[in-house]
Formats: sequence, C-alpha cells, structure tokens
Amino acid sequence: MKRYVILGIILIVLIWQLIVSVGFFSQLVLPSPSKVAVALYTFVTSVKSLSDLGITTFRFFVSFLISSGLGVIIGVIISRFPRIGSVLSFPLDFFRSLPAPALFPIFMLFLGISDIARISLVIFSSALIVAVYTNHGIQNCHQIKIRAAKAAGIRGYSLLSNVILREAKPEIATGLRISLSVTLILIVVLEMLAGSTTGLGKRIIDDHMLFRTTDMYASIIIVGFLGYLLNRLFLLWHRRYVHWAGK
Amino acid sequence: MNKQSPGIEAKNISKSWGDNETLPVFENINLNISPGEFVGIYGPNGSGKTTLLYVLSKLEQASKGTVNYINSSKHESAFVFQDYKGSLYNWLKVFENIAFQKWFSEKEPKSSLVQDVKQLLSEYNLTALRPLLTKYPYDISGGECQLVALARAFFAKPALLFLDEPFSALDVKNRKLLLAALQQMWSTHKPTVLLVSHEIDDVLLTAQRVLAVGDNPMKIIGEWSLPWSLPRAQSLIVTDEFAKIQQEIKSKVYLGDKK
Repeated sequence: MKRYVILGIILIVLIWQLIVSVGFFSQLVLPSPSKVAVALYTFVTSVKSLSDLGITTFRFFVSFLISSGLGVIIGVIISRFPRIGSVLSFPLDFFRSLPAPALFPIFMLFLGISDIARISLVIFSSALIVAVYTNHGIQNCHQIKIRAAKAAGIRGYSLLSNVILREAKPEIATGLRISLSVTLILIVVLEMLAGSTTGLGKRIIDDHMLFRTTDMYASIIIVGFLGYLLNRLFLLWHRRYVHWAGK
Repeated sequence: MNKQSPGIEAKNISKSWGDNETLPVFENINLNISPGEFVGIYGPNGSGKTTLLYVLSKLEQASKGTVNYINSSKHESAFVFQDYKGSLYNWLKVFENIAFQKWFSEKEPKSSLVQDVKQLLSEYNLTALRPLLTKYPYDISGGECQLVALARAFFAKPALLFLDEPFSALDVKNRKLLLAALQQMWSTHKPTVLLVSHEIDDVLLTAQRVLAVGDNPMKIIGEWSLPWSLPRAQSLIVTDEFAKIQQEIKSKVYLGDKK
C-alpha cells in the first residue's frame, strides 16, 4: 500500500512538471517543482517561516481542543434536557449553516482585531459541529445498553461517562473529524484576513501580493501537509480509542 | 435461602406503549413471587413477556398498578436481555463486560477482576469462555455473546435475576452447560429468578413454577407447580411425566384448552 501512496506523490509532481514544460503558463504563475522544492528547503530552514508554521499549529490545537470540549458539553446538555434542546435547535442549526467567515466582522467589533477574535470565531463554529454530533450520538444510543446498566444499578454520572458517552463516541468522533477540517480551514482563512500578522495563511497571502509565487507554493504545500498529518493523527487516535465504531 | 432475595408483588399492573399509551400490552395482572422462588413464564412470540419482565424489574414503570419488592433492602439485580449482543459493551473486553458493574465503579480495584472472572468460569464449568476473555464482543460469535451475557449475570451474584430468552442462541452443548450452571447458581445463592421463554423445555428444566401467558392482550392463562426438585438432569426430558406436563401447557397456550 505504501508504494501506491508514493506513486500518487510522484504522479502529482510529474503532471506538474509536464504542465510547466509545455510552457503554457509563465514561471510566475506556475514555477517548476524543482524551484518550489528549493523554496520548501528554505522554508524548513528559516526560523521565521517555521515560527509561522508553529503559530498556525498552535492556533489549531488551542481552537480544536477547546471547541471539542465545549461541543461535547453543549451536546450532552441539550441531549439530557430536551426542553433546552428544543429551544436551542433553531439557533444551533442557523449558526451552523452560516458560513463562519461572514461572522468575523462581528467578532472583530466585539473583541478587536486580535487573535482572541479569530480563535473565538473558530471555537464558536467548530463547537457547534461537535455539539450537534454529540447530541445525535446520545439520542441514538442503543437503549438496551442503558437498560443493562440501569438493571445493575448504574445511574447518574457513572451511567453518562461509562455507557452513554462511550456509546455515542463513534458519532462524536465523526463530528470531531469534520470539526478538525473546519477548524484548520477557518484558522488559515482568518489568518489571510485583515489585521493578521502571523501564520501560514498570512504568509500565503503576502507571498501572493508580492508575487513571490514560488514561496507561496511552498507555504501551500506546507499547509497541505499540516492538514494531512493532523488527519492521520486523528485516524491513529480513532483506531485506538474508538475501535468499536461501526462494529 | 439468600436473606436478601426479595419477593415480588405486582398488583393490578397494566402497561401500554406509545406516546399516549395507546398500545396496551397487558392489563390488570396480579403476581406474587416468593423470595428465592424460580418462576418461568412461557408464552408465544409477541405476547408481551419481555414488557412484563421490564415492568417487574422496574426498568419500565407500570402504566397502572404497583410493583413491590418484599423483604428486601438494597439488593443486586441482574438482567439477561433477549438482545444479548446489544446489551454487551463493545468498548469493553469480554472479561470487563462480565465484571462491568465493578469495572464501572470508581471504588473497586480493577487489578483482580480477570482472576475473579476466571474463578467464576471454573466454578460454573464455563471454561470454554476462557480464551475469549481478552477479546472484544464484536470479535466473537452470537452464541458466545450469549454465554458472556449469562456469565455477566452470574458474576453479579444477584438476589434478583431476570432472564429473557437466555438460551436462544446456544447450541445443544452450551445450552446443557448453561442450564446446569443456572441451576447450580440458583441452588447456591437462591436468588429470586424470573425466566421468560417461548421454549417450553427451558422453562420446565429450571423453574419451580410455570406461568403460561396468552396474547392479545397478554394474560396469565395457567399456572403449574412443577413436581421435580432442582437441579434437574437433562434426561428428565424423556420421562412420561415431563411429556405430559409439556403437552398440557402447550395445548393450554396454543389451543386454548380449558382443562
């Protein structure tokens, strides 16, 4: 299988090189793979660019961890208290359907042009996703598993943590996986928007503005790898800690 | 007799399902089960036996009437569900499932649980489960899951035990083993047991008293005290007396025999 993965990488580079060789586009629009490779090397040896990568990764983890925790808590509350759930069902669906960057101006008005505004918006949107999946997972709990626990006298917090949340975990994990992608997208997009001074998004947009296309491609590839790695990491976690999903 | 085994007293209980309780399952059923008694409930599919068991175990509330446990303070109860596979926890290994009550409890030490489970298995001659202990429920067969569900109930040493079609997925060999294990468990700990089945032999081989139920709506249509003492040998099945009682109960349930 690994061989095929490498084949996929080679294929992309080959097609890329082919398009460059045809000479259809100028080097400014599409630099050759070798040039971008050099830029990639410069990227991984420069403190400034590595710190941008670090800061984007840091923003991602802060947002993802906080939004996951909040989302699960909100999901548990709305599933346990159906009245609260009914009241919140429209607002939840509304804000979940609203493309998050559209809300950024509002967040900026309240929180200033700052990292706080950016991260708050990301947490807000991602937590909604996790909350909806958590609620759904709990609603769809296999009743017999809850009955079995109740018959043995397991109730309250122990029932929630040992049975209900475990039973809902595969569905929560689906929510987390979606929220992971959304979180990274939003982080990078918001780094591209007004007032941002650091991060990979900022790098990409600056390189674009200044026609440093080769560097821009390098940064994009780095973002791609970051997303790919985060997804792989998530799958590793999933295989180990949600091994019963779909079984 | 186990001092803690409660009796069950059900007075005029009715149960309906549905949003406005529009689907009646049974009405005005009265039942008295003595502490430490082994009662079998026999009836056709869809008659409401499982619902009755849910109400008697207080997993579901009766729509009308009351269920009281007599002379019991706090007691352990266990339930073996008809959906035995669904009732196991997929995220726990087999031995953790068997000891799930202790596994979930914060206070109990978990280190000795494997040993405790192994001891239970040898006590009840269920050593066939031993190689499965560290597997997950989704990796073992349906019949094996049912064995695990039963072992789980035994492990709890319940004072009150509810069994809903507990042998439905077992092959001849395992069924025999489990019938023996169940009787051994009852003889040593004397819990109050309610066993529901549409298999007449399961009931006749274990219960002291049999209640036959009819459907639409469910009602108790007959009651037999079985003359044999426990534990009973499998060979009982081939005796004339067994065949006679078996025939009598079956014809009452399925032919509406007024005898």
